[in-house]
Amino acid sequence: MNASCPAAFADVWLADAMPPHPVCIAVEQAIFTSIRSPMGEGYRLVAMSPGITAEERAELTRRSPSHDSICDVDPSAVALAGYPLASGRHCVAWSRHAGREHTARGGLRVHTHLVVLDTHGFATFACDPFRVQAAMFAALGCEPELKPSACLESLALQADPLQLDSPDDDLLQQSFVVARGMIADHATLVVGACPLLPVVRWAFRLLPLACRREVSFSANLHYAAARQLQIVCLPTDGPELRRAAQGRDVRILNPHQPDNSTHESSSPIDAWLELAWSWRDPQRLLALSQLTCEIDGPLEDGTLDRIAHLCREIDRLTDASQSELEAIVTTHADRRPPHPIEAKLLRHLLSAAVRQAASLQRAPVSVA
Amino acid sequence: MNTANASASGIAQGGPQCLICGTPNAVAALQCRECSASLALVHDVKAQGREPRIISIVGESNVGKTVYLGFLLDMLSQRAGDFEAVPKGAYSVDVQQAVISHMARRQFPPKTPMEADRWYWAYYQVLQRATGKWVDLIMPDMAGESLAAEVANPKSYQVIHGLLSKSAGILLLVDAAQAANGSAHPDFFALKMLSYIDAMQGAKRDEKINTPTAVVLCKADYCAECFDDSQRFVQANLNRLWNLTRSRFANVEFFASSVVGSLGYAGQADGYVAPIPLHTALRGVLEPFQWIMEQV
Repeated sequence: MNASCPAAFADVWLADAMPPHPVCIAVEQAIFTSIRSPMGEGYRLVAMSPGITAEERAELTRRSPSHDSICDVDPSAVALAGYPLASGRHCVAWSRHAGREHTARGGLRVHTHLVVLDTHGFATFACDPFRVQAAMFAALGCEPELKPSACLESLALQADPLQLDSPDDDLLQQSFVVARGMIADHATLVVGACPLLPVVRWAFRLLPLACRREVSFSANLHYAAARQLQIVCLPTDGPELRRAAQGRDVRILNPHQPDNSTHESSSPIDAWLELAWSWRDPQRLLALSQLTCEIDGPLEDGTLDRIAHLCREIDRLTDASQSELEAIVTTHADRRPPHPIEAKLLRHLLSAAVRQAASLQRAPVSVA
Repeated sequence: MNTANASASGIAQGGPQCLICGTPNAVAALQCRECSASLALVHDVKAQGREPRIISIVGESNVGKTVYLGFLLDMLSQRAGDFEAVPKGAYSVDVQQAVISHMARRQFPPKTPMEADRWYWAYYQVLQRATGKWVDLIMPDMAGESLAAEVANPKSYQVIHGLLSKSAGILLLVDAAQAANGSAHPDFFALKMLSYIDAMQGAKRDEKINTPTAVVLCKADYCAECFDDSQRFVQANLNRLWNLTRSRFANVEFFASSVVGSLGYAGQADGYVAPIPLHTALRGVLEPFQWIMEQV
């Protein structure tokens, strides 16, 4: 296998990155919804596992969606939120409609199943809330639990290897807007992304792991300032949203408006997203998604740009001439990058460049 | 790298200070960035040049706070009793419009969301003709679940803490129908609510809370004896509440109230049975408010 070929690079990277088998972890869980019980009625934490602390309970109650919070009124609508907790753990909240609101005041009941993961557990899912939600779906099924016992056991979630669909160009471009918003210095409302959940899912996949850890977001939930989320993704805009956001340090973006880039200053991940755009075939996107899962730890200024540059250099190897290959080796041979992934890519680049150069030297010269 | 809220120095230069929590806000802000209280109140208070009084209506979820407040404001707007009331700001009319409109269609108004930025706020100027005194009143419509969450974990909802600490009067709504049926739940909630207020005010053991507190027995159409002797009803059916008010509150009065004249039930195809308010027959809505006004 010629490891300098882009497709082969993807093969090599995927073969290195895939875990040998699915990993199962135990997480704390809770249910926030409105049911009538001997202890009361109305929206509250109706069930939880013992490992959730009192402080986490208060925070989960404050940040969980109550009545009429899901943007889409369809009974099958789904919303997702995720945020770091003050305790240092991480919460992923999966919200669905669960029948009528039982006090006859109209609307559908919102049922939110929450899981609380520690740092290690969240990293098992590559800090991707959508992978956590997929595992929750596999463990809990499609029907929300409306008669849970007040005390739940810890939930066993299986972290399966990354599986990808193939996004079209429009979805990918929308996900770039969301990804930039996830690491911006201000809160962001993204309105009009369609299809909403796949766009946000891809934004997470494109974001390096180090950036994902602290992202607080919601998708398909109405904006509520009290939830204190970094990015809120909604299907539509409207006067109520504008009113709620007025006077706050919140930017409203529409991924379909072509002049978004003129309103936004450059983002630290611009070079990275440009790489994702140039690598938008399924195989390389999968490799890129695996690569993002490994970019962890402190990211100094420029680290992502250099990693993106190395990936592009690896891309060049297939068509590089002998002199270009020698130049690549000369340029990079003495570098000692601090970030382990950058160092790994550099080793891969240098060894592939040397092998490619050697194969070019051995190749027979055609005589006209 | 990620911050959900900017620091105060970045955005709040020269803007209004929240009436409830005191947080400075941006000039263009419509809601407080800290507690989500309406900032229109600040502008209207400034225009009046008069310190408003906050009257808080508290009670658990589904006791009828929104319905009670909506009908109360509507009665005041229609100059019921000895009162004349003027809404300050169109937003003050939202809650009564929502309640009246829904009840006219034989529906209960929608559930109040827990998120404070979606609550109704009412700011009224009220004249009691007998005294000739104008009082500015702020009456927020809080969600029962948020109140319960705040009681369980104080200061988790800063806006509730701020409102109750600044309240000139409190209307505590209790579900009389449930209590009459033998449920202890309304009693426990009322006990927790008043205990929270007691703890918040921090009165010493030999001091009592002076904030006028009207205990309103809602849905009293189910148990007419509430109207005959509200105090005795509380003593018999809400004994924990009764004992706490005797021990820790100096200024408490008990009232009975009813809004729905008759209730029908409609069965749906999926087996769901929905209560339908067939018509309204207001009783005891104004009296608790009148008493509070006499105390403030």
